[in-house]
Amino acid sequence: MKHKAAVTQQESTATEAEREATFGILREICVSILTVRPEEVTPEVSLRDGLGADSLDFAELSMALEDHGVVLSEEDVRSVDTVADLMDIVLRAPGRKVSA
Amino acid sequence: MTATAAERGSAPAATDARGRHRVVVTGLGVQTPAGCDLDTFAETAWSGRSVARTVTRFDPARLSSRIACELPGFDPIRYVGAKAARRMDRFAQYAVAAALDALGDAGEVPGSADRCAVVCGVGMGGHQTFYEQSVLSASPEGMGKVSPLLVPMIIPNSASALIAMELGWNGPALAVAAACASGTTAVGEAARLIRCGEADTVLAGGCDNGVTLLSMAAFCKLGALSRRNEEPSTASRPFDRTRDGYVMGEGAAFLVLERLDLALARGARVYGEVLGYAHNNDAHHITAPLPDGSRAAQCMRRAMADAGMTPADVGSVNAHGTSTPANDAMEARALHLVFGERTPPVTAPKSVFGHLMGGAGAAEAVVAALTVARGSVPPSANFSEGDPGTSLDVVVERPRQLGARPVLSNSFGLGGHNACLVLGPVAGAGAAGLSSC
Repeated sequence: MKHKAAVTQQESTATEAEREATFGILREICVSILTVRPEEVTPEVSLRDGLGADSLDFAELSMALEDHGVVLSEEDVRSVDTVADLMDIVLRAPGRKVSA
Repeated sequence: MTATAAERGSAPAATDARGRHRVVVTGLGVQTPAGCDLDTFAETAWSGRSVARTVTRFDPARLSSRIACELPGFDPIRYVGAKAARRMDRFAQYAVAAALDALGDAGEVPGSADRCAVVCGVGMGGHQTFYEQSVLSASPEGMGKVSPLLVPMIIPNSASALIAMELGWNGPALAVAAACASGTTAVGEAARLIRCGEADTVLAGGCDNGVTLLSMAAFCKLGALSRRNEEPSTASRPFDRTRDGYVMGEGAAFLVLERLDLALARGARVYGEVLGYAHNNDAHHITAPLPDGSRAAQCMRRAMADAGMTPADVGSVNAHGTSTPANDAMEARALHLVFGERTPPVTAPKSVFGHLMGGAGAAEAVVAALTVARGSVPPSANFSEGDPGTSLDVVVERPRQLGARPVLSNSFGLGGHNACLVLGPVAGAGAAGLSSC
C-alpha cells in the first residue's frame, strides 16, 4: 500500500499525453511478449492473473523497458500488479525515453 | 478391426522369457519431410521416391550442399498456444507436435500421471536459437540483448520437458543425446523403463532441426552432405557405389510404448512389439565409424540376443544407410558379419526423407513399426549397385511383401554411438497377430 501511495503521488506529474504515449508502448510490449491481443491490454488488467505473465515474461518485459531507458528493480517486479502500475513505474523513471 | 486378446480367448504372456514386462507400440506420430500425418508419411515412405529439394528456408548459395528434405508448412500453433510456441526452438516444436499426434493415435493410454514418461532423442538441440542470439549479442555491449528465453530454448531436454508439461506427466522425462543414434536409443531406453516396471506408458521419439544455415555449413565442412545439387531427388543413395553424402532433413517422430498386458486390457490397436534393443560404442573416432563394422555388428547381435532371436529370425533390416561413403561401407560390412553373404531384405529410409539427425532413429522406428504392421518392406530409393565385395539384398523399386516379420532397425551416430532395435509382431498372439494399421 505504501508503494502504491508513492506511485499515486508521482502520477500527477505526468501529462495526459505522456500517459497515453507510455500506455501505447506498454501495450505493444505486452502484445509482443505475452502473446495477447491488444484489446486485452487495459490499464486495469493484472499482468500475472489477467495476462498470464510469469517470471520469464517479467525478465523479457524488463529487457524491453531497458530499451526505453527504464530499469525495473526487483522490488518493482515484485510489487507491480496491473498495467497501470507498470505505467506509473515507467513514468517516474528518471531515464525514461518513452514519451519524448 | 483388431480383435482384442480377450475376444480371442488367448492372451499372450505378459512377461518375456527373462521375466521383463513386454512392450508394444500403440501410437505413432510424425512431423517429417515425408509427411506430417501417418497416412502421408507411409505413402511417401513406401513410394521409394525422395522428397529432397533445393533448400527454400534460407539462401544456400554459399554452401557446397544446397539441397535438403524440409518439413513443409509446419504450424506449431495447431498444437500449442502462441506463447508456448514462442518459447520453443523449432526442434522442440517438432517434438511436441509429433508426440501429441502419437498420443492421439494411441487413444487413452494406461497409467497414472506418475507412471507415464517421455524419452526424447536430440542431436543438436536449440542451435538455431543459439546462433541467432549470438549474432544479436556479438559484442561486449550486446550482452544486454541476450534473451531470458535463450537457456530454456537451447537446452536439449526442453523437448521432453515441454511434452511432459503439456500432458501433465510426472514420470521420468529424459533427453537422450547420441547424435544420429539418439532416436533409436530413446526408443530402446523407453522400452527399458517399461520392461523394468518404472513406467506403464512412454512417449519415445527424437527430433532435430538440421535444415539451418549454421548446421548445414558445419556438416558441409565435415564433408558429410551430398553435393548433387542439380539432382536433389537422386542425391541420397544409400549403399550405392556412387553415393557422396547424405541429404539433410529435419523433423520429429514419436512412438507410444505401452506395457503389453495393459495395452491388451484396454483393447489397444497394436503395431508391433519392441522385442530387442542394444547399444554400444566404437570407442574409435568422434566423426568416423569404426571401418571394420565389428562394433556395429556386435550391437546388432546383442539386440537380437535381447529379443531371444538369431539372425535367421530377422525378416528385414531398416538400415542406418546415410549415403555417406564411410557409414554405408561400414554398415554393409557389419551386416555381412552378422548375416553372412545373403542378408535379409535391406531398406534405407534416409533415401526418401533425408537424415533427420536426432529424429532419424525415431522416424525409422516408425517405418519399422509400419513394416511389421503392413507385412511389407518399403523400397530404398536410388540404389543400383553396391560396393565391390558386398551383396546386400537392397529392396528397390517396389515394396517387398514379407508378412509380419521382425525388423532390425539400425542407427549409428557421430561419436561411435551404435543402437539397434528389433521390432516384430506380438509373439504368442496367434496366427492373425495383433497388428493393424
